[in-house]
Amino acid sequence: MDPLQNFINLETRRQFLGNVAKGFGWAALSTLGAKAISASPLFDPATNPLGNGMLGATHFAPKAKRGIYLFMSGAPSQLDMFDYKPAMKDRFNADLPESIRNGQRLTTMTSGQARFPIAPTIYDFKQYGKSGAWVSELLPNTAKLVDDIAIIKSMWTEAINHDPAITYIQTGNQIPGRPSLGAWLSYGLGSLNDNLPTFVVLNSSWTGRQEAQALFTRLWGAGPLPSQHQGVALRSDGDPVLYLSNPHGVSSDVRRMMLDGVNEINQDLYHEFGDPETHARISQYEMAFRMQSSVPELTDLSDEPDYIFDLYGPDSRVPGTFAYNCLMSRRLAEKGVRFSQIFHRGWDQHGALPKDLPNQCRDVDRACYGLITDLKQRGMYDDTLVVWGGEFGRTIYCQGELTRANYGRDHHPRCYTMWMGGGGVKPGVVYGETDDFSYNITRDPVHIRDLNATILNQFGIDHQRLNFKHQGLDLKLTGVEEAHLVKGILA
Amino acid sequence: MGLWWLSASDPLTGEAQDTLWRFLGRFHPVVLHLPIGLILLLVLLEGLGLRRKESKSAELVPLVLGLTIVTTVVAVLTGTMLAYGEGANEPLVREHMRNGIWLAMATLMLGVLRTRPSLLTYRLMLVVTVGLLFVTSHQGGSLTHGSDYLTKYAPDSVRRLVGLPVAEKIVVHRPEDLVVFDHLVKPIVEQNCQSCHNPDKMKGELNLSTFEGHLAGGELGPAVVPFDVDASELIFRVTLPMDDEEFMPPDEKPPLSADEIALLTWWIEQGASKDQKVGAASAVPAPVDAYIRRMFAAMLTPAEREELNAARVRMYEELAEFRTVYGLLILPVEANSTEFTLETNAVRKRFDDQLLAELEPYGQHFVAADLSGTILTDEAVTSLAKFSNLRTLNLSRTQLSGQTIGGLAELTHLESLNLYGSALTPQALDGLAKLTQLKKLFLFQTELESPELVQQLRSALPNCEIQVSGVSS
Repeated sequence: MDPLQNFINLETRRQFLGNVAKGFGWAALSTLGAKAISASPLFDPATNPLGNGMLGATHFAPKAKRGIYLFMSGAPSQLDMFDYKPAMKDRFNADLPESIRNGQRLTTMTSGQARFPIAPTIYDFKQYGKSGAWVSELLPNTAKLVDDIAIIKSMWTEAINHDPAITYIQTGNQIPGRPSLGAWLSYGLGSLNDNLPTFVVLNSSWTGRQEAQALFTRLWGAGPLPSQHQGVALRSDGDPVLYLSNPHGVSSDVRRMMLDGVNEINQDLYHEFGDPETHARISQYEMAFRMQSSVPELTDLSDEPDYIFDLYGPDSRVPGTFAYNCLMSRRLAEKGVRFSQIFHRGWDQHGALPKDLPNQCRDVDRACYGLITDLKQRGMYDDTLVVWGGEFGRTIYCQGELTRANYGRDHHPRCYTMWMGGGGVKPGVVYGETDDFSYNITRDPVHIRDLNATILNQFGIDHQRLNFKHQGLDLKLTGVEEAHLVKGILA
Repeated sequence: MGLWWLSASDPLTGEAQDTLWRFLGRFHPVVLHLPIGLILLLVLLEGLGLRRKESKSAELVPLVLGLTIVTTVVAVLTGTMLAYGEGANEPLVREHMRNGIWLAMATLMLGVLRTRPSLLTYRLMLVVTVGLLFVTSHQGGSLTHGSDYLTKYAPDSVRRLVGLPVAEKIVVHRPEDLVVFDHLVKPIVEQNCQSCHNPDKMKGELNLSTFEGHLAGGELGPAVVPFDVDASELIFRVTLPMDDEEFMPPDEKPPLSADEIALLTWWIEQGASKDQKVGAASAVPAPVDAYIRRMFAAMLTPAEREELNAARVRMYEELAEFRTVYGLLILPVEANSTEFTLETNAVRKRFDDQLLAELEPYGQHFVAADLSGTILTDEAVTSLAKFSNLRTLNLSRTQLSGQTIGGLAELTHLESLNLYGSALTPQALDGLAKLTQLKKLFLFQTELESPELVQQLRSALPNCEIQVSGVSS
């Protein structure tokens, strides 16, 4: 678009404020769909009439066309689940050597502690599969997956508290306001099914510690990207999307007439101000109309046979559980939702870890196994990327009182474990290594921005070339610092 | 006579001789052009004499004829010395030598026949001589310059006229699609090596006119050892100091440029593949990348590039119609590619055999098709068989009974076939057993899931991973 026109189209402050006042009413709807991207001045349909999403086409052939991100909010303890440290058994209650901590910044929750006693895990670890990966007894089903996934033991981040850390891994920056991973994928690649949102968020119930960190919608927000790219959070009871059903007495035809009328008014508005968000709004209304038929079918699980529920575990029959959401995300993937992200909270075991962690693990263990097995048998695992993990790890030293049967762990950003599978990830890999204390990384560190670059890579995107001009920057998911692909886990 | 003896005996041993013969032999190129000129002059003189009886040109004939005989014989002798001295004895050298001897004998015959009263036989002999001259000198030229020296840059129309293959125009849209060996290595080798290392001359027993020839190598072992640059004689020879005895190409021919050597080295490091594309390489060093891009730019004229782009844009526009009209999502596998994937998510309940048939004209451009949950039937296989480049095909949750599924055997590139949840009957087994190209086959939630049937299929398709229910105990 020519710059002059661009300038004229810029909103005035008055118009902006007016819009804000009117705008909140449809904020929920504005998150749906991607077709309105054609209104974006950056996209030139003349060069690629097949363009879908901002990029028009992937930078290179993608390995994954869909993704499912299982986010464990609160930071699961790598020490009690994947990162086996047998040498710690003999060091029970010994002080963490200063040479290991090495002046590491601590949270205010433990910085006042007089000493940092080592709390070895009380759970048994065994090696599984051909890869011989160590997994604890808390994850008996995930253990069966070790030859299908790549376990990264050397994840790290700089952030030490939940909100900055989760904002960081989700959006590439600790300061709120940047687009989330799912929004970037929606923006760059577009939808695989115009009748459904491109990026769906599923929040889960949990059985561990109930005083969990809150999640904010900005974790799946679009930041400055056009607003339709933010994640659509499906509700687990009532209408999955609020106000999706027609009210009593309103037929589909009446709704259609109403929409046609509103669209006309919106068109006039667009001619008046030239704001691309107006086009976005029109297409959102249309998307909502299509979703009136596509979403109920999606969330009606009555066509799933019993053995599929059994596969995901008994929780999968209970709406809102992690297992239910895993089953739902498979259905979403199958119907062409490009990216879904399940949030599971309650992983913040500062104390009473032996009481809460087994519950947390039980919530997700069987469901993770069910999801991957189900994707495999349906032939979807080859082009669906699955990511599991949280925002940072937990400390080897105990927070609070240490006994043989009870302990807690503080936040630990210097190393933690995540896993990935499907979508071109090399199966049966254990990547990276930490020291005997699972405190520092000794081999192949993977920063969360490396992980994000790798995720984009699997979708056929060069992370350096998916960006958005905003406040004088070419905004990128991976920020301005160098990010490296984790080639060791790629097939 | 001596010439008889030369042609009867076999002086060429194939061993190079460090003797006077070799020195004298090198005068062959100095002498050989004289008989060519003289024989043609002779024809000219005789021709002029025919037209004007009183022409004085006839007076020159004895002199020219005499000179012809002498220079031809000298050329034959020096040629023989050259071949003997240099140790050449390839088939083409022998033929050239034999024809040279015949040519010399023909000129001698001309000398005899010219003295007869009737010049008819003389004139016939002159025609034969000229014919021999052409054959012999062409062979000589091929020996020094390579057999395709003359025609290499002939326009396509000329090449067709003389029955030579017309080089296929490289139609790739991006440098990434270039085949490293065919499009980048071969031209360098053709330009610099093949005038000696071809099936006719086989210098050092090495033939670089085929891919296999590189690996087979010659007297000194393989010219190219995949992944091992140091063991590859080809690289060793072209990187020697230029004054080295063994330096290639020899005899003051222009040496390979640094970026040509970089490209060859990179090709070998990548495994010296026959069909690897540039885009498939794990990493392209910057100088090689620059070279490739330069070569690519030179392969197409701006007009051709424009035409290619226009054709691509046309195809994109035509395919985009399918989105506008039917809601199909057709995605280029990467930027500017002419390979596509087909997504039908939004229109599954409307995607039928007719709609699929409408895509047939573009079938070869699809590498993946997700037709899961569509209303396709067994009829669809006829259309699908035309999607000749499909690698991934998803027909899960369709009504296909599998009666016709064997028709997919035509899709030689097909690696993954998803039939989970489809209406397959056990009768589909025979058809499926024909799909030996498959690497993955998904049969979850079909009637074929029984252990016996799966076992049967596994023995018919030993290289295929057959996925049924994935639950492990």
